[in-house]
Amino acid sequence: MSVLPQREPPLPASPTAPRFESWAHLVFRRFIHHRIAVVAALVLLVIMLAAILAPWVSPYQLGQPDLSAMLAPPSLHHPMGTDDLGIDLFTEVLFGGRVSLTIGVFSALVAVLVGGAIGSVSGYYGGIVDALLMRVTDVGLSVPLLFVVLLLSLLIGPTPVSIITIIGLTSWMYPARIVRSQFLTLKKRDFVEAARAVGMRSARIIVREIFPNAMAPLIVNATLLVGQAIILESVMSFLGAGLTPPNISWGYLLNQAQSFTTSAPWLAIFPGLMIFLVVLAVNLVGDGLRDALDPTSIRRTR
Amino acid sequence: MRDKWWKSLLGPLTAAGLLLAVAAPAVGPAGQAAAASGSGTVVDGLYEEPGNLNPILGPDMTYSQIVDTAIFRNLFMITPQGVMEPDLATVVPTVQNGGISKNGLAYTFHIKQNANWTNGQPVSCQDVYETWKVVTNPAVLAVTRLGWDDVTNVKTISPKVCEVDLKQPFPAILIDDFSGNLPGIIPYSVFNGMTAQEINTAAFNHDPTVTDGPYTFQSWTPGASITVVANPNWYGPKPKEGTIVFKIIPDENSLLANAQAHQINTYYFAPIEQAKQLKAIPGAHVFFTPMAAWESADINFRNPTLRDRNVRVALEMAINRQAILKSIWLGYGVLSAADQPPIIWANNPKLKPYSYDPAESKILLNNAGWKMGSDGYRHKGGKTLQLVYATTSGNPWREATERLVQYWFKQIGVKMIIHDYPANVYFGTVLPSGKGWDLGEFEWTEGYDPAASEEQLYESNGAQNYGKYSNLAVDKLLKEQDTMLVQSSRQTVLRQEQAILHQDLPALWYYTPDEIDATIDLTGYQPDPWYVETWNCYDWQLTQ
Amino acid sequence: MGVFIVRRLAQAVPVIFLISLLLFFMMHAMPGGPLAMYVHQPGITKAMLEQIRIDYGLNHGVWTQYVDWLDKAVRGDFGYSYVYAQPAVTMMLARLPATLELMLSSFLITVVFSFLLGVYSAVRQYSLGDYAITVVSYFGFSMPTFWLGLMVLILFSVQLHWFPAGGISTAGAAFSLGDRLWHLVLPMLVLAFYTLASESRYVRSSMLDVIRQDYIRTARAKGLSERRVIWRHALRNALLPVVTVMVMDAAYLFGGALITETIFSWPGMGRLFIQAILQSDYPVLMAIVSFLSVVIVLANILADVLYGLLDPRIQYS
Repeated sequence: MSVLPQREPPLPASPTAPRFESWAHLVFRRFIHHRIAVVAALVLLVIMLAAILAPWVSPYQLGQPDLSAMLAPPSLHHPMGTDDLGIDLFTEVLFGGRVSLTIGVFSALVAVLVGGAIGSVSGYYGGIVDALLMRVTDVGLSVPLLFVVLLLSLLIGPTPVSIITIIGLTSWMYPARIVRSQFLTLKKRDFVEAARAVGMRSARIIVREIFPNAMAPLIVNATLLVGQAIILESVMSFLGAGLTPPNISWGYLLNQAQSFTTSAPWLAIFPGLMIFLVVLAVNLVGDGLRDALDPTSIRRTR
Repeated sequence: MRDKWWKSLLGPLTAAGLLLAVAAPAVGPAGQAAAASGSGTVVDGLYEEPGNLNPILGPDMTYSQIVDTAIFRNLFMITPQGVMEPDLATVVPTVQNGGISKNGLAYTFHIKQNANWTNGQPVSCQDVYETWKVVTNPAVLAVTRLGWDDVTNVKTISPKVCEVDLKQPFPAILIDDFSGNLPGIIPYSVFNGMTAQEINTAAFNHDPTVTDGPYTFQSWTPGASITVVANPNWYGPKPKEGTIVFKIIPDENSLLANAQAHQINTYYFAPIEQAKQLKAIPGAHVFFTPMAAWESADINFRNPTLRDRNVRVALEMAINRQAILKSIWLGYGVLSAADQPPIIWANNPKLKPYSYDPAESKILLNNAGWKMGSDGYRHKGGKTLQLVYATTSGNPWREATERLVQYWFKQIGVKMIIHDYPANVYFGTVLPSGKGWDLGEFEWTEGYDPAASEEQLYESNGAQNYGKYSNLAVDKLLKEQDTMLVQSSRQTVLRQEQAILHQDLPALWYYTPDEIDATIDLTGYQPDPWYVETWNCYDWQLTQ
Repeated sequence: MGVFIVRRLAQAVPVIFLISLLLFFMMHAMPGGPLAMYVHQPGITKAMLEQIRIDYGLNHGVWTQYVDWLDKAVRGDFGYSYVYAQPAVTMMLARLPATLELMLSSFLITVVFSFLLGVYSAVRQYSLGDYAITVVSYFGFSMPTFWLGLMVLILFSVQLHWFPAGGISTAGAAFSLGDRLWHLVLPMLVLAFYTLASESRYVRSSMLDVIRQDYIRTARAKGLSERRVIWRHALRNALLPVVTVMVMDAAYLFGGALITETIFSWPGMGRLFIQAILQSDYPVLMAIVSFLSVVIVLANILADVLYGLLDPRIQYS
């Protein structure tokens, strides 16, 4: 019995403008039906809005200490309590969200773009190109991540932009490998052969034909990467090479909270909860997108 | 039909569950076999693994000294009260008792008759000789050569009596070489005839089988722990417990958790934010000890803005140091007027710390030509008043201080950028290079004699004068006191120097924090600001 | 296949060489440096620092140092640790068993549970169980190891006294297997928790891909038991993309082990590595990095070989 997964190309082979519109519409419609994903998307939207509007919605000024209210538990005045300097934690969490979300989303984007490009070229062309690019990927994978991250952060300084660059450029190896393995399988499919037969250029085949079909696992990985980047940034704080105020992030807050786990647990709970919520929501949205992009998925209704 | 498939999961799941269940109850609760005195195991939490256990070998690590002091001894020691007492020796030499020659060039040491190495050899003058030879061998990575280079000879008068001859009078030799700085002398029987290379890599450095302290070395599990057991033949008091395990726990929060779980009995240098949590542990005692150290922020004089004294004073007065001490340090410390802390004899008690007065700061900055702009910061000649503040990362209380300073500076229109570095980068590259910082906060710990610190930190070409501070009057005073033999004259001079430093602000003076140590279920521990914490480990006793 | 393996191994040599070169230069570019330890030593002079530089061989150019290092390294001599004055290889090997114990047990747990949970989630997509697994695994995924480790310590060790607060065995006690396992549980679970989330997601998504395929429907239609369909037919095909990820994750596990070993005072290589970075202990750093890169490169080759064994469509010519 053949174990070859026989899958027809799911989407129009060469989406032209109107067809693309209807495709997007279709994806959107499928996504909307994914109730949990919609809820997650809404949660994400609210958190993002709150972060963007932080300067206007936060009850206090960022970094304004109140030494008479140090380590105050959550109350009406301070909905998430205060930190060891009496700074309102809610304000810090709002501002921290800006930094953490930016780092998470953009690092993942950089990683997926770089990894996607390398993986596509490697998988599509094969041969010497593949061997070379994959050895470069091997080098990337074999260099201990924390060491590189620490070194780069010390060399170029921990600003949000440098951290996005560092994390993005040290996380592209997984996406590259995933996309490559998709390409290895997909490039032998009929629709690719067909595209080649009509004389389509390689670049166009890669971008238009194969890549959309290789998207699903990449999206799952990208959503994981968003979370990973947010966490990696906090580990940098732990190792002493993270962001410094006023560029506080959720990871920074979590790292600070370590010293007060038994005396002021709220310092650890709220930033931790936010990271958890965002990671969960991003990934649920990712699942929803993945299903929406993949027409073979059949919605099961309970 | 589809309901049943998951049952196939049950098999492996149960197996995994069983594995865990079997693993869990196999052993009783953690802690020490707390039995009658003499047989218990004290667990000592060490934040860092010692590099080696050879007392004369570098690198200089406090945690090496802590273990060394349990198994090695030197001729003298300094008590918590700051008094020098004999240890391996029988008496502290003075000019009066004839132990120091009138010209200050010859010291005579008498070693205790019952002081023996664990291999049965007596501790003798040969060992002092060998220690001098090894330390001064330029190819040996000695922990310090301070004072040793001035020794011209170590003469054996009799096996237990020796004479140390000096090139020039050096009163600090007893402190620098025969107590405090060096945890112990090394055995002649082991090192005699070894080349420098052999000494640097000797098996002895990690397996010191020949020792002369209250405990003897038993084993070292790399990365995990070092075990020492009571030495029944030691010349001092009989150790109260049988074993000390130095358990390496390289994370402060894990150290706290270990203390809370009663799995360690001592915890040194706890950060202040853990003080309350440590106090709350039943059976815990938290020690706050005034230190011969101070916290300050070095000024980088390469920055022309900071060469203006008005600006330095404005910065000092804008920081509410009293509030830092009260709120972050819970009052455990003393505010500084200059560097030397009150327990050091060079401290000038007449100097008063600068007051917290942001209004005055604003006036001073205005006078210095820094005018407030519409952006909330001050400007002069198109330049914004902006300073980079650097310190070591990973210290919550330093990070808290920085955030406060950042806020207070903002109140007087000074923009402050925080840039922290891991300790070895900060001290190894950032501070010495003078690049990437305008204000550099750190703590300086000094030995019993303060003059060395002053010369290193504030003399124009001092090795740790990171900010390139230069004041010829300070240089002159430091040179003067160097040749003085009477301490009271040195005190007068150093107090004058302190007055200049107070006025000049080569650093923003902060405070001297207390050292915080905790013991859990242990008595007999006594912190000593001049020595490492294991100095009286023979007195340690478990309470349960 | 044999030819393929030989060729990949041959390719691995320049890769490992390149990694060592890259890291050697990065290491030397790192601010701080080995002399930082000595800067605050009492009475240190410039001459003494220079002597130490010469002793460490740091007075030559970086290229010279690298050639010198490589020359010795290929003969198995990785030099002496700056901090411990012991052979770097000896130090690394002394800490290897502890790391292997932690990593292998975590890896095993991760593989077993990620398959169980992933398959369950996929087969019962959108069920309550699926959501519960999703939420719990994302919790593990979203909590930084340093933080989760500390929380676990406080809960299970400080509050409940169920497990020791770190270490590999009871201080001062004789060796016992039960004691070792008892110390292993918390760090192993914390380390596994993190990778478990991502891997069970991969298994889930890979399974979802497969069970929608026609041949699975065919198998079902043929009246094969659901259990057989899932575990024999579907899983085998779902394995393909997962294997690559899992083998690569073994390397990732080392990254997690760095932090886990620190929090749980686990005397492993990961902690030695962090310490070597923070103290600029070049010989130890290079010994560990070289060892790791060999392991990771081999793991990648293994992943490719497994990939080939599982997917007959891929030909290694």
